[in-house]
Amino acid sequence: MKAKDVKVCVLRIEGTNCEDEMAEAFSMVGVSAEKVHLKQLIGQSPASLARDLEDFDVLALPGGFSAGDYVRAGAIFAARIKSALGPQVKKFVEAEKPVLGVCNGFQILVELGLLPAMEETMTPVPTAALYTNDSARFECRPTVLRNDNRGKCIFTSDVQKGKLLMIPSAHGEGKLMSMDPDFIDKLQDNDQIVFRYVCGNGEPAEYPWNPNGSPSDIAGICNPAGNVMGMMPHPERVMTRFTHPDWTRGYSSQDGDGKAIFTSVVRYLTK
Amino acid sequence: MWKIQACLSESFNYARVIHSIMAVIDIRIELKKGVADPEGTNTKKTLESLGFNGIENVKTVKFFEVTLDMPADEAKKHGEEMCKKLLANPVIQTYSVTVR
Repeated sequence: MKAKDVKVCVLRIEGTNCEDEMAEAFSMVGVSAEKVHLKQLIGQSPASLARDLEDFDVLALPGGFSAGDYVRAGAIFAARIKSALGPQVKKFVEAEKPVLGVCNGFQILVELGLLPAMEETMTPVPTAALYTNDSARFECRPTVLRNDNRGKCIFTSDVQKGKLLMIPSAHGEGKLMSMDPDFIDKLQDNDQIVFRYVCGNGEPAEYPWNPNGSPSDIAGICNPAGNVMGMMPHPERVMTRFTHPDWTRGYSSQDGDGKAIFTSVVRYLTK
Repeated sequence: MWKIQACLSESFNYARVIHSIMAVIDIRIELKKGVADPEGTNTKKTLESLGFNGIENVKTVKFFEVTLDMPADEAKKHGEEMCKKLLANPVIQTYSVTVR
């Protein structure tokens, strides 16, 4: 497949607010991205706007406050996807097509049962939760992430293991929780941990470098197959050097640190 | 003619009201034991800053009141399904459903 033939579905409902940046980020790496409302996929739009999930190669769930974060962040968007599009989404994931969830998108993937999804592709009930930050505040600042994936996640194939990336966070509910006492060990064994928050110097993070109190400083995870990834920080906000906080202080690259995540997807689909 | 219609529609509505069985269920979503409650903690602090003394604990609870057109026992079952499918995340929350 050629990059220009790759079609990305940036899925939104009311309250999603990062779809423009997400679509633009994919456009910047040479693929075509379309912002699609959920209603367009489930036959609730005028026929001319109707789309089929199957026609897309990537599904991206952007950040925002879908459905006003009512009930729980991401819960309503997830329930609407599950009721109207559940089997199609499952099929999409099982076809090993990439699914990316950022911030609210990560919360949706967890509520949807697509992450961590250790036992099956899509669990009927959530097996994890993204819960209120320890600080009980909306935490909004640049964060430093370390790529800790050993190679399974397709979203970091362009990022060296151990590399630090400066990617901004902006969320109120980002603490990853599970009922399983061995949750972190299992994630580690399955190579499902993708990003950890670290301090600016690469040392293990403490607040505020870990903005939410997530155990083991987890910022992003993938499913066991590696084609579904959710992360709290926003890579689509650092596609060029100009949105990097240090761009006037010796930041040398022309690209922002978030770009590698998008080029990784293209590499996976065009290999 | 108009009068007859009005009369008919009135009796129809009346029939509907007496034949429908309404149940109101209270759904209470609580945080599981051991899950921190930052909203409760912050509220406690603020209440104390307003001069309320002797507060032992403040806990936030989410409450839904759902009115259903069905018998009570069926309504309770429906409420429990609602919790499983949307209202509660079993990782952090517990739920209870009571029929009024």
